[in-house]
Amino acid sequence: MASSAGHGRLALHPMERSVLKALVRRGRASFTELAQELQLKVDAVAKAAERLQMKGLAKVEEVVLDRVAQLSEEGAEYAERGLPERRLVDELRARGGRADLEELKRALGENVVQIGIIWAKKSGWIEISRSDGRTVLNLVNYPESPTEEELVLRFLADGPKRLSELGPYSEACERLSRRAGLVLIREVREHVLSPTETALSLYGELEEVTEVSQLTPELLKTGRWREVRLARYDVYAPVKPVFAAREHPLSALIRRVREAFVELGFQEVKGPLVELAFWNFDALFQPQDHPAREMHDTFYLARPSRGRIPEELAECVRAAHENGAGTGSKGWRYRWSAEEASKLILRTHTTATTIRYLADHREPPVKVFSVDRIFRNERVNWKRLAEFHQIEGILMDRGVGLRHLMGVIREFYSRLGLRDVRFRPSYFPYTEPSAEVDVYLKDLGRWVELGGMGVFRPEVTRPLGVVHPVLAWGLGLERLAIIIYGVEDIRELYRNDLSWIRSVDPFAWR
Amino acid sequence: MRPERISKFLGREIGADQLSELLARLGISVDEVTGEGIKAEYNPNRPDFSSHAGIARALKGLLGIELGPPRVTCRRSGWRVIVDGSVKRVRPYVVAGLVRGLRLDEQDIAELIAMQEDLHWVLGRDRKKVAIGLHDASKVRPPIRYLARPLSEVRFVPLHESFPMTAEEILERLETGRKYAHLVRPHGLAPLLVDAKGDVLSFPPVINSSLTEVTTSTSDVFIDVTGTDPEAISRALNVLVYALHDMGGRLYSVEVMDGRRRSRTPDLRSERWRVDLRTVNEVLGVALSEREAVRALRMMRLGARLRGKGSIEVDVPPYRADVLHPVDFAEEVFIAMQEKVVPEFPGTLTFGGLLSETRAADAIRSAFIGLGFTEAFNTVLSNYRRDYVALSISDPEPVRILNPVSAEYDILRTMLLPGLLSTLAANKHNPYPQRFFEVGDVVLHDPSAPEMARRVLRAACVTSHSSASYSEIKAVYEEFSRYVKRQISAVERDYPFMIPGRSVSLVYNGREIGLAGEVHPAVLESFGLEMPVAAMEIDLQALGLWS
Repeated sequence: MASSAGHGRLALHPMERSVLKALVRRGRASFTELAQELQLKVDAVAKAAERLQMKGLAKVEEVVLDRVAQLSEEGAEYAERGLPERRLVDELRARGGRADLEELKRALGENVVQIGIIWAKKSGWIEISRSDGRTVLNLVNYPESPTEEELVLRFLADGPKRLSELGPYSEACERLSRRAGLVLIREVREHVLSPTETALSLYGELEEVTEVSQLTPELLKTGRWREVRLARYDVYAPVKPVFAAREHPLSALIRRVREAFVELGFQEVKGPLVELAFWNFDALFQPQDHPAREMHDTFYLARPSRGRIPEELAECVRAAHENGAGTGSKGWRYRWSAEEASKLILRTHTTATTIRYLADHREPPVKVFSVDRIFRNERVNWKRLAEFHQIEGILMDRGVGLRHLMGVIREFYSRLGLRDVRFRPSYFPYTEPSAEVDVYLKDLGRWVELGGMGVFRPEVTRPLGVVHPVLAWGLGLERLAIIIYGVEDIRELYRNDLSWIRSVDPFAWR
Repeated sequence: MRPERISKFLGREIGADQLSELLARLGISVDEVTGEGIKAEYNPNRPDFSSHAGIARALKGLLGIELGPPRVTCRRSGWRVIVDGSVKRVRPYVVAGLVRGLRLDEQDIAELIAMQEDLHWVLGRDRKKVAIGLHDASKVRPPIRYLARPLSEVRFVPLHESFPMTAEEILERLETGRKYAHLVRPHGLAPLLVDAKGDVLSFPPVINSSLTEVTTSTSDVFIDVTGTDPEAISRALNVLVYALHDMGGRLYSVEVMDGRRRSRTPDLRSERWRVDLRTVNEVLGVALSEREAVRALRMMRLGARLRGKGSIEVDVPPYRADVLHPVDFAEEVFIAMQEKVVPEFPGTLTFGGLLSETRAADAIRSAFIGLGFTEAFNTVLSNYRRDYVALSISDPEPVRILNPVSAEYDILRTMLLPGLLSTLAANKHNPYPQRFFEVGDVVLHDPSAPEMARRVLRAACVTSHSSASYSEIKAVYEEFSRYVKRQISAVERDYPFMIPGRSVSLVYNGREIGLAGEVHPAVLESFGLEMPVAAMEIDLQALGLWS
């Protein structure tokens, strides 16, 4: 948007200013021209001109601005049928370039032939000879292309035209007006405005250059940008907003969590979402009547509903459940059912995935992690989701214990900028000892529980053939996310509301 | 939980803050501390935490007020419970006990009821395995018989009712009757405890008789615990009698005569274990001395004595039957000696790394962001009617859920597109243009996998604004093809959810792996969308972008 700020020393109305600017640039101009250029009504220009004159900046004169040419009745007829000289030479050519005058008169009419002869001779198209008392016309130079006069006639046939519009043909037009009034020319008088010396001295500098708003490739290519002035903009004018496309805040957090574990030397692993109850529960020494396995906590599948459990391993797991499998444990003392273990569920924790990995990697050291989806058959509300993520990991090595597990977790959270952590004893059926981790949040002024951990029980590891201690943890991702992003309602994380995604501070936790 | 009540049992004043600190140490997670008291949750392995008395008992150890197992004596009452053969098929096991000399106030009674409910859950799997009845013993004339009778032949005044009802009526009319009818109905018989006068004491697992209701004037309490798991009922009884003992009662045993088998309950013998100190130290990653370990175990109200070098004999009191393996004592030591377990990062040296699939997915995500699409994060859980029927997608058949708690979810998604349309629908109040993408898993049937299904990573995007069109999405999938350096060709194909003649299937190596097009107005309408949408979706797995 162009602004005239800075040129306001003279008290000029914006209309006067723009008229004057155009005027200084053009030199002298009619009201109509100015109106056209400035996209104004002529009245408005006239008004501005009057005021500029009063202020001594411009002079109004009435001048003959231009002349307008128009065909006369005869001219219109010629425009349609052709000029007499054209018709004459056409007839002559048709007759083989030579014809008797009387015959031509009979063909074209006397009048046409008489006028035609005058102009055709003048143009050197024909010669006249006499023989045996007859007058004979010879075509010596047939005009292949239309003459300037003919062009003017065609042009005017559309309607009156200004002489200035006719450009190089204006002389031909004048000739036609002199020739028996084929063309009538009348004068157009108009008010013309010219700048005074005062105006030129005031605005001279300004008006030397054209002001443009958009720098175009054209201006750059031609170098014309040097000759124009790039208008100043109103830099405070409002604009239509644009928004950066972004990754989802959860995604960003997941990436950071993965990074942290990779930094600590952990390899990422991934496992199935649809899982055998065997890996989700049985291999983790969860008795088959454990409340967590009930229908109201776990999603069971209708189709498919059963999978194939690893038979050899299943026997070892059965023994662990039924009698402790010689691990020194009492076991749960019930009849273990392979049928129950082969049920398909949506995994309720990613420990199902790490335990699978462990079954295939029995030799230390093992350091793996995953950040992935898990499912709980719960009614969704502001603090609970049915599908969410777990930050999972295990570390298996000789001589590690709970203390080292606490060390891993503390280090992990400190990498996310959460430096105050505490551990509380807890209970999980598959770890012993078990603990929970709380993180202190300065903003909230309280401890928040973020996950569980423990050392896998011998009843879990021995049936897999693992003899060294396995440290395991499962931490909440969404709980961490709502803390980091300051979200009240956990469902917000999965609503994908653009205004929320755009409002999230990407530097909140880096 | 009320601090003043804990203080009473503890015999020492304790404030809410100090108490919540101590509870956390014990492994009880504190949800909230208010003027009313403390809201906390205990773990299912410690049903003895179902009462103030039980928690105070544990705290006494932790605070060093009383170490080692609590001392309890139990005399014989001379009461008998005779088990009738009729009950064997219905609810086979019963144990019982008698506590005398109680002076219960309203709070005590409220606590006993709450405790009973807790135990029904924690040990009883909602009364299936364990059901407890507490009775005013002065109203009961022993011996007591445990038997089963047809539902219609049983008639008594149930607790909190004024008129006699048949067992059948109880199951139909009373709330608790309806709730537990499923545990009784299959047999057509009502398990009953009936005293020598022929009065019904209780109809487990449904309701007690009003006759024997425990009130503030009750001094002697008779307890029956019936169920399907002898260990669980025994443990429930032990937890109860220990709490009643701590409330000032004297314990008496009851003889249970089950055919030829005679036993005296509660069985208050402790369980003996042998613990290797080395195991405890290894599991915790510490180096406690024998003395420290013994003291720690005694702080946890366990009996502990050193028996030879590094070997500790541990007696577990009968209200705690959660010990399965010697390793369980490591947790006990941890609770008592938390400050000795100092976090230390392990020296295990390994190289870390991401899955190549993760790296590939990240590269795809950044491509879409570069194209101006914002990432959406939708769930794999999905709704068949809303997301698939609405789009007339019937292929492939989705994995179906058997028992969703909420009707919101009944399948696992096979495509990302429906989720993205929902995302657009949820953003109608936000300015347009809107462009979203998602890179995420779908789940497909796969009979070759042991779990009969597999997850497949896909990418999809939608663009929505007043001039969203096929050409815009064509430009996107063409750029996608160049970006992943795979020759993906487009073949004109109509889909029920796309405008005919404005969609293509995306083909790679002769396989159809995705689609793109302008979404059909009927679909937009069903999602409540009033802006045109163009979309594409593609299977990333099929592109061989990772190993």
